[in-house]
Order: sequence, then structure tokens, then C-alpha cells
Amino acid sequence: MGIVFAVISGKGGVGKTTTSANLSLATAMEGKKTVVVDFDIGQRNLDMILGLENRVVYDITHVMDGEATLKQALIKDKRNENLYFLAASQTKDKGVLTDKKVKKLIDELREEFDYIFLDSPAGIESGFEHTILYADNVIVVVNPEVSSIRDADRVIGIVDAKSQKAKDGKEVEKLLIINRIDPELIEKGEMLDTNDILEILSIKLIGKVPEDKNIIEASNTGIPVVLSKNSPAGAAYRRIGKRLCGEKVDFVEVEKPEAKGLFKKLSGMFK
Amino acid sequence: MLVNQFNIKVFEIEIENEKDFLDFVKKNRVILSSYLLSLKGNITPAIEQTLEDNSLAYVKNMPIKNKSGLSTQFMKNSNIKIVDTLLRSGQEIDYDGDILCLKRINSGAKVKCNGNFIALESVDGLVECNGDFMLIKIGKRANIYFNGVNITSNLDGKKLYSVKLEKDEILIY
Repeated sequence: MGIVFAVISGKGGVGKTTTSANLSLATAMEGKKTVVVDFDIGQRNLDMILGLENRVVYDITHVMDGEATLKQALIKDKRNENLYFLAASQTKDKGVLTDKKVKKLIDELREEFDYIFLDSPAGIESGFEHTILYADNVIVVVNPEVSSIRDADRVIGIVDAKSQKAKDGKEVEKLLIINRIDPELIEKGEMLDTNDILEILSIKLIGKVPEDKNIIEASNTGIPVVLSKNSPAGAAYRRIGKRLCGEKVDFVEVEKPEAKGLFKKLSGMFK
Repeated sequence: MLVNQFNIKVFEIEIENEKDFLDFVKKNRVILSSYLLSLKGNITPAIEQTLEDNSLAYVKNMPIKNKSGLSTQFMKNSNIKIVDTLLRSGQEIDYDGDILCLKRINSGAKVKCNGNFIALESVDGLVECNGDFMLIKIGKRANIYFNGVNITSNLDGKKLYSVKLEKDEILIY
């Protein structure tokens, strides 16, 4: 029976889709049979980030409406045999989702996979509500700045009020990823620090991801950074993937600016 | 009409025999004098006389425990609302009584009460308190109204402030 993770943020542009792509690859790399589903109906992006856009034939709405089977619509990733992808529809809008259809799809996915990641749309409308409705856990992605934190706070409140698990009297586990941490801005005191964020949101931290120029290139080429050996963000996602699979991995101080040149090499020898 | 409210402490005593009870009263007269005695059993004229001599207040056969056997009817009427969850952005509480918040009130959350207000953790949301007093520590994004007056600029995040209404004057310290 698979575990469903909904990746949410409230605010747009904080890195939900990048996080979904990288985490699903990371857990697949850990040997979990993983599927990542784009729930952003009408505005699909995940296919591009994963580099699978030209392989999309059927999408999530085809499966829900019975026009294609789940097997037909699932796209197998060539880089990792454990990873599958289900695309969002680009032509329809989120009005096509209903509770019943979503439940049927997720039940089917639970049978097939160990880990199921749902990439939520931004905002708090019906598309978001359907993404969290049957989730076991939510992964909240924030940037270390106030508007992102407040929006995340709002969506956590909605998860606690509206998800099926909450209605059944159980608690949805909420995991926090602080994304796009810029060491220079942290040092200047222009970004919220981790302790402040944890105090406000009071949910469990599962990872900190530094700002990384490689992300933009990765999106353009469709090769997620988690596959890259020398991307700091990629390394952070691999650590989070391990944590999601139950491994205990120590937190790395990504807030410290990277040492440059010779000093970096020297300090590397002592690690 | 004049209504007074008292908090009363009670000794509940079941009288088994007259002599034991009178000894007990004699021994503990000083303590008992500041309590109300709730007596069960047979109250003889001698007992009545002793209580009167020692000016001890008492009632007969008053049911203190309710049927569930736990809380007393005196405690039940408390109108304080205890909020033990963190209040997140978009959540709202409107209560016609006192509120005690045990966790944070985040930016974007709203609490309104017609009674007194106490927050044990930092407040970053909107609070409207129309009671006689308030205990509050604010964060950077708080917005605090006390009896219709915005007092946010009079507070800072450095300490727990107590805000009082005395003779139409708001005292903050």
C-alpha cells in the first residue's frame, strides 16, 4: 500500500514542481517504486522539468474519464526504472476534478507504487483541495521570506481542516522543505532564518535546499539536479530522499556561504 | 438588581456521630472559619448551636458533585475559552468571553473576544479584545485593538505586556 505525499506551498514560484521532480527521482534512486503526478491541471510543467514532455500521450484526465488506462498513461522514466510520471492535462481546467475520480485514481496508484508524489497547483482553490484530500503526508515548500511563510501557514491550516485524514480525526503529517536558501542574504539578515520559520509554522523540518544556479539549466534541459554530482541543491534533494525513505541523515548547514578556491579544497580534505 | 459573584471554598463533611464532629470542629475551628461547610447526615441541635457559637457558615445536603462525579457545578460556569492549537493564517476565533491562547497566533489569523485576553506565546495576527485586561507579547506583524483602540505602536516584542482598562483609561505596563 503506497504512501501519498502532496507537495504544496500556497504561494507560487517557490519551487514545488522542481521539488516534486527531484524528490520523486531521489526516492526512486533509493529503490522505491515511485510515481509523480502533476495535479496542476491546465498548467502542466512537471513534464518539462523531468524532460518527458515529448512522451506524453495520455494524461490524468484521460485516466479519470476512462479514455485511457492508468498503464497507458504512465510514462516510465528512462534514467531510473523505479520512476513513473503521470502528466496533467494541458487543455482542460481543474473543473474536471471531482472527489470521486481523484479517490479512484489515488487508490489505483496506491496499489501499484510505494511512493506517490502529487504536485499541487499554487493557491487554495479546488485543484489544491483535491491534491491534499487523500494525502497521507504533505510536503510544504517555502522560501525564507515572509509572504511565502504566511501562505504556507494558510495552506497548512486548510490541510488540517479539509483533508480526508483530518476529517477522520487523524493527523496528516506535515513536512517542511525550506527552498532557495541564499547564504549571502542569510548572512546579511535579509532572509528569515530556519529557527524563525520553524517557530511560526511549527511543523517538522525534512530538508533545506540552497539556491543553486544549476536549477535553471536543469529545468531547461529536463535533467533534474538530483542527478547532478556537483549541484548543492541536488545533494540536498538526495538527502531529503533518504530521509523520506526512513534513513537518518544529518542536516547540513546550507546557510554558510561556500568557501572559495584553495580554502574550499583544503576544508574538503577534512570532511 | 444587585448581583455579586463569589468564589467559595467548601469543606464537605459527612457527620457520622455528634461527638466526633464536635471534636473536629473544636480542633479545626480556625481553618474552618474561612470556609463554607457543606454538611451531610444528621445535624443535631447541639451541632447547630456549636456552629452558630463559632460563627461558621454552613449548608445542609448541598449536592456539589454532578452526576458524572467529576466537576462541580461551580466550576462549570467559567466562560474562559482555552485555545491550545496554533492559530494559522486564515483562522478566526470570535468569542463572547475570556480567551486564553496557549500557542502562537500567526500573521493572518484573527481573534476577537468580548472578555479578557491572555496569550502565552507570541502574537503576529489581529487581536481585538474588549475586556478589562489583556496579557500579550507581540511579534513584528501584530495588530492589537483594545476596546476599539489600536495600541500596537505602544507595544514591542521585548516583553509580555499587561494592558488594563481603568476608569476609561488604558494602562500599559
